[in-house]
Amino acid sequence: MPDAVLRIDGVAAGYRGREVLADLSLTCAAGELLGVLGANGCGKTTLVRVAAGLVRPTRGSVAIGGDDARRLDRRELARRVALLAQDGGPLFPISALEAVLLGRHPWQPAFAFEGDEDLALARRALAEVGAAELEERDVATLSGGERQRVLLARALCQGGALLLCDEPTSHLDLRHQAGVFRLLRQLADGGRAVLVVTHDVELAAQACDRLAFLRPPGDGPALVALGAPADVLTPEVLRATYGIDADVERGAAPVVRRRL
Amino acid sequence: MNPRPVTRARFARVLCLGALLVLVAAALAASCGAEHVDLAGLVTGRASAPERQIFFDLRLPRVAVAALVGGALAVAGVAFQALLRNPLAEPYLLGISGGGSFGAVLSIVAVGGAVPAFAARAPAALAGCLLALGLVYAAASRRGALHPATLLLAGVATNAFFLAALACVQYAASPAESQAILRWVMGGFAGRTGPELRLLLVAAPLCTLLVLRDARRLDLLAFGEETARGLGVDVAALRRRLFVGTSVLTAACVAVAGPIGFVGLIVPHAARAFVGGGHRVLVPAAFCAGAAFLPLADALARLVVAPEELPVGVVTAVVGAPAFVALLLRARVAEGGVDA
Repeated sequence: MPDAVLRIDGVAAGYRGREVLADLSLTCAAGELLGVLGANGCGKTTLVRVAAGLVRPTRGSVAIGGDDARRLDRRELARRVALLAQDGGPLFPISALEAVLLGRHPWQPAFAFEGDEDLALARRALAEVGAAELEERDVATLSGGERQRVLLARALCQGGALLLCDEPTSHLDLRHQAGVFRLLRQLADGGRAVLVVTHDVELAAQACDRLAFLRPPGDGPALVALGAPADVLTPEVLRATYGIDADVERGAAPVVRRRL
Repeated sequence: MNPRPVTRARFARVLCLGALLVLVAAALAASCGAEHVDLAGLVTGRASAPERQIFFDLRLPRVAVAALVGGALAVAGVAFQALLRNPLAEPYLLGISGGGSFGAVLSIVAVGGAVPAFAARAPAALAGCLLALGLVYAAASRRGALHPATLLLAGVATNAFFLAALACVQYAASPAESQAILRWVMGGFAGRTGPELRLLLVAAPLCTLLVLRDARRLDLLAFGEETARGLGVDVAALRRRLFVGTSVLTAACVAVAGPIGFVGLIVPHAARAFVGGGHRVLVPAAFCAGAAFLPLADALARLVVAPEELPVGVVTAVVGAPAFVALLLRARVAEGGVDA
């Protein structure tokens, strides 16, 4: 696949000598929504950090937009990859518009003022996620669903061909979980490569083009299965990934029935 | 809440209003004291020679020192709060004031009142500050990265250690020395003019500009460490740079005026209530607010028991604490604060 925006090849990564990811290879192409699933501690967040160029792999290589991530400086990485991290949120009052404008940082000099173009880009991003009316709200007062939309707008404002989302639906109710996945689908359809880490197997199976199931470190290669949801969402893969017994009901909206 | 994008026009507006605030406060502070100086007389030239001398030779340098210390402490407070991701952070939290106080106290005991205050105390205080800074840095640094929680714990421990050492020295000191120690530890601007002013004229603008250069990165850091890194910020380098830069700035303030409490905590919050959390306008706004507040507090310290003086740290706390609480209450009512 020549047009892979993200190409991870034989990567191993970890912290302080403890390996969290082992021998992982995957790609994410333009226009593709890739779901990454796996048990707690299996290295999903580490995968996001590796893909964002924030953690150097101990083995293997990461290419973003065809270039080795090690050869891109922080600024260039931030221009190519937008990251929606699991952060605690802003410490001080900040309006939604200002939060979205933070996405312009990689494109501005270290100390710059916001010009008309920046404001237009930020407002367009807010409109794209259906949050134009939130512009004046303090981010701290937004509901979980509104907040994720604003943060997605910031990622859009950042630009870049690759969007990485680390558990964007945690803490959201059922409606907003679906809303976030619908948005991610739209963004992928708009031409971005989108990688989303999630625990929501069913929504991911509906929205994503491909799913990657990861297993915890120590049991060989990290990847259990990678492929179209219809192919990889099986009781066997779920058992190998999470160690659970489950039935899978196939269809346009697959259902995973777990057994206690 | 108003969306507050930092446009060039808004930055200029905040800067002009801030400068105006500082000028008015400075004129007010320099005109009052044991001897009242008529400002109108100074402008029209009707003021007497002694009046002119009091205003220009005594009060104005002292006001300038107070303004620079106030501005610098406020900027340091802004930086520390974003750096440690903690709204309760202030420049003295990390042991700088403890180390500086201990150094100054040692110099008081060693040379007594024989040497002019600045000549002996400021270098000793500065050395103490830098020693504390080095200790905290060494304790909190892990392969070049400063973790906020470790930094806080190392700072608190260092401060406690130096304050205990200071207590030991004070306990063994003579009553006269003990009195001098007490005065220094409470902070003040009496007799601070030429050399102090020169030190601050270099340190305060330099460090403020350093913080201002990183203002956008502070916005990102305040939003979240991972977010900041994802947007291209080298968080480890930013923390190192800001910790060392603002600590040196704080050290200069402590060396000049002693540890004046509360300014570095409340002024950033007060400024934030008016201009919002964006650091590109918050840093200049906090500098101006601090530079206006401290000379006025110092003037009050000179007025209340004139011709004697109160320690200015007492005034900053007595005036600052209720003002701060009132501001917090109002900000909560307004949900997001006032606009600038």
